[in-house]
Amino acid sequence: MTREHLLAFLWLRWRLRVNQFRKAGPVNAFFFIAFSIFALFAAVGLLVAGLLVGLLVMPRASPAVQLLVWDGVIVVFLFFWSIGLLTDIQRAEGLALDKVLHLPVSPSGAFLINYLSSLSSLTLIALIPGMVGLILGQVFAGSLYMLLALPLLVAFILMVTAVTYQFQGWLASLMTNPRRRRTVIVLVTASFILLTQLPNLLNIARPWDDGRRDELNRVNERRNSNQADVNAKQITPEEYLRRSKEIDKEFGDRRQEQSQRKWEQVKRTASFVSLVLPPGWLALGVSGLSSGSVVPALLGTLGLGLIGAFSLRRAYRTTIRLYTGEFTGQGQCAPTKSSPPTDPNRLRLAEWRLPWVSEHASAVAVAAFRSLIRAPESKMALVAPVILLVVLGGASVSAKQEPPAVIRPLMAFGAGAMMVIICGAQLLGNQFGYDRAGFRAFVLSPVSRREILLGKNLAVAPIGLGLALAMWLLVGIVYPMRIDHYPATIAQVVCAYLVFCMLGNALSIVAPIPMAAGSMQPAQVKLVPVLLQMLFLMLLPLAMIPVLLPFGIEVLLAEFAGVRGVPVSLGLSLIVLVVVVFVYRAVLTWEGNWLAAKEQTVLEVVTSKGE
Amino acid sequence: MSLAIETRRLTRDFGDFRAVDAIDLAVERGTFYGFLGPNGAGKSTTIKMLTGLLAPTQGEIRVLGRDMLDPKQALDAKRHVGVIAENLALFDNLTAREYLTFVGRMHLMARDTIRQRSEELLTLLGLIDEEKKLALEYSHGMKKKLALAAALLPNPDLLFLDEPFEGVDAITSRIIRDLLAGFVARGSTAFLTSHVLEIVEKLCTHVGIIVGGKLTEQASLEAIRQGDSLENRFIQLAGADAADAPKLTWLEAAQ
Repeated sequence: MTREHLLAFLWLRWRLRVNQFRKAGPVNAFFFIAFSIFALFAAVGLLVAGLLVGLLVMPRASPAVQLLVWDGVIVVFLFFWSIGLLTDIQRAEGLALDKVLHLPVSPSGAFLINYLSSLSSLTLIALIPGMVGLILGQVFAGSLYMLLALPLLVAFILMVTAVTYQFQGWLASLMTNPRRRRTVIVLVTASFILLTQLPNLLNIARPWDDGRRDELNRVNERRNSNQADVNAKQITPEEYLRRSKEIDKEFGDRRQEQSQRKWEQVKRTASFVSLVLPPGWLALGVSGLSSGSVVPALLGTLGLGLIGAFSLRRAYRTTIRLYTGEFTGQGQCAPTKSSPPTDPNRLRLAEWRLPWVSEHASAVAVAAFRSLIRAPESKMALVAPVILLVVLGGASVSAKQEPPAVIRPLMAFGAGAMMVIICGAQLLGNQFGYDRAGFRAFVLSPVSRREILLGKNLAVAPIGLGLALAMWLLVGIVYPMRIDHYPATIAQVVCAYLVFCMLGNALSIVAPIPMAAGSMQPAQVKLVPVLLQMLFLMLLPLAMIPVLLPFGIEVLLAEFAGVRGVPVSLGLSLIVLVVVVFVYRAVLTWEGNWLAAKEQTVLEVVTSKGE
Repeated sequence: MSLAIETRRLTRDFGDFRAVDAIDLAVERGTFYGFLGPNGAGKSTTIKMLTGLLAPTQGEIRVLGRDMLDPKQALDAKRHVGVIAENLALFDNLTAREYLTFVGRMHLMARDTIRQRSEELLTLLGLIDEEKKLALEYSHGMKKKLALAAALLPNPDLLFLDEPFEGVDAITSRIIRDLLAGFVARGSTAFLTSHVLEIVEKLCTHVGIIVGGKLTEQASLEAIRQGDSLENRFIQLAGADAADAPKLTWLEAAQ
């Protein structure tokens, strides 16, 4: 490996990044530049803040507080690092070593240079200065032992980046198989969403709030009882005041005792976790240095350095195995042996004929559905509703509040409609973007474009409408409604789906976005289609107004005319459903003609960048 | 003899660049027409316009007597046409049999006919053992074979084939050549682009040559060849001569 090789690698990585952003379009480039500038400002700001905190606050903090502060810093760092890593994995590979190893450059040299050039990440640039500032601040405050925290920090960075590099290499070896590659991308995306939702989930679970709310409820009960006694003149005002003070004092003492207990528990947990999990060795080492003990820091530096070195070695071996063709993806695909003879009478899914629709619409629907249930993008689209289910379900359980009966049908409809929107925003609002080359088959086919749109809408129904009805059922069970509200809200959810389909079809024709194969990332971001997609989502609630009219009319009749217990919403919802079905049929014909006129433009967009 | 394909002043611009410049194609029914040209000459752009994948900037297109710029007539023409497009038209997440079933149903074929023809085509093209794989797992050559199977499945009157032999092994290539020869022999029409001039010479009855977006020659194979090999005539007509190419003296110099 020579200096020229190093420069060539750095240039290649830079060029790949530049071309990637050029390909992704000006909007993406703008956001990246803005984000980079923000990261640089954040780096300077965190450096100064770290210095000040290290200089003025940390010297007065106990070793336990030091440990917790550094644990917090590590958690924040790893959170952003993980997000950066998952984003990188979802993106197309930047620089695969197997593309350069046929050149006259040693594998070890190429590996090392590639690893070093991978360190230029925004998380490192933004957060490391803050950590360095925190250490230097304490050094300037007079704690020279703290200088040992610098090699400890370097070992920590080595460990994190090397383990990450090893992990990426392992994923790359898995992804040599196209099917497995798609599974990996789905799992990575799901992890990404879960990780970004982690603060939300923690807020719902509130593990730190253990028993506090129950305690408060008990105190409030005693206070209310005391108030009732004084109001009923069973006790004198003086007795009331005495009891109030007693209740407050008992509460205060118990709170203090609980806080003390919790603090001890937190310290024990933090020490244990920091000891068991290698990233915590940084916090343990710094905490030890603050109390004058250098051994934890030295051991931490050694341990983290060894893990880093071991991970790099493993990553290198994986690279070599990739290079030598051990992971080729061949032989790991679906079995190629002859399949058993199929029953000639068995009807295959691709052959299903759906009732009440044409053969063409049936063919498109089952083929598109078959394709959808295998496609990673639809699996990814399903991740968001599941998360939503967890978040909303958790929030409703933790709220422990019963919603009024009058809004329950609205909640059931809202839950179902939200599922339709979340599932369908990607799959219905950009239907042809996911077809890529497959859209050519539609253009070449001798079929009315209306039938293609109908088939496409039917293909998404089991996913979008199915999940919507599942969510509707869940809300209906958790918060029971009047019996006629169940069919009424079902009719409303179906109406919402049809309205959504009409709008989604129009958006798919007017603002198609090319999607990279096997991902939910646009192959190219253009401003106008993105703005139209955003506008679509913003205007969607307005389009839902007719669907909700029956519910609104029933509430108004109950409030102002005293009409209660009459299934007004059900009757009107069924009428609206019939009207929407007729409107849908008419609009579909018009949209089919529109697609026929625009299909070559759509094809140009979805294939030119998406393939 | 009636024309299977006819264009008048067919033109396509991409911004300021004119990819196809007012070409007048005339492909008679029952002929095997080879459409040749150097890289970037406009072959694929032309075939895309003929099949309805790309709108022309100006000009007229008639395929099997139907006006391809009229949506209703274009749909009618597509019922009788099979296409292997440049970047194919496959769905990544369908197996070969599922894709053929989809194509057959789009042509309103009976289920039993689709099954029978799919079985025969997959066997003939050597894909029968790979039928559980998704299209995305196929090699480029296998994808070409699947696209050919889909193009043949509805038993069309006219085939558009954009580089059908690219990436296909020698044995399958032979099978495809025989198959296409039989297809034309029964009176159907094939419109083919290929860089392999030997194949064109063996298969085609007529040849058109496009250079820089302009149709420079269009005649029967014999008339084009004028007793010479197709390769030599093509190089002459394409306006390039290997003898005029600049030499890399450093490559020819002794080590």
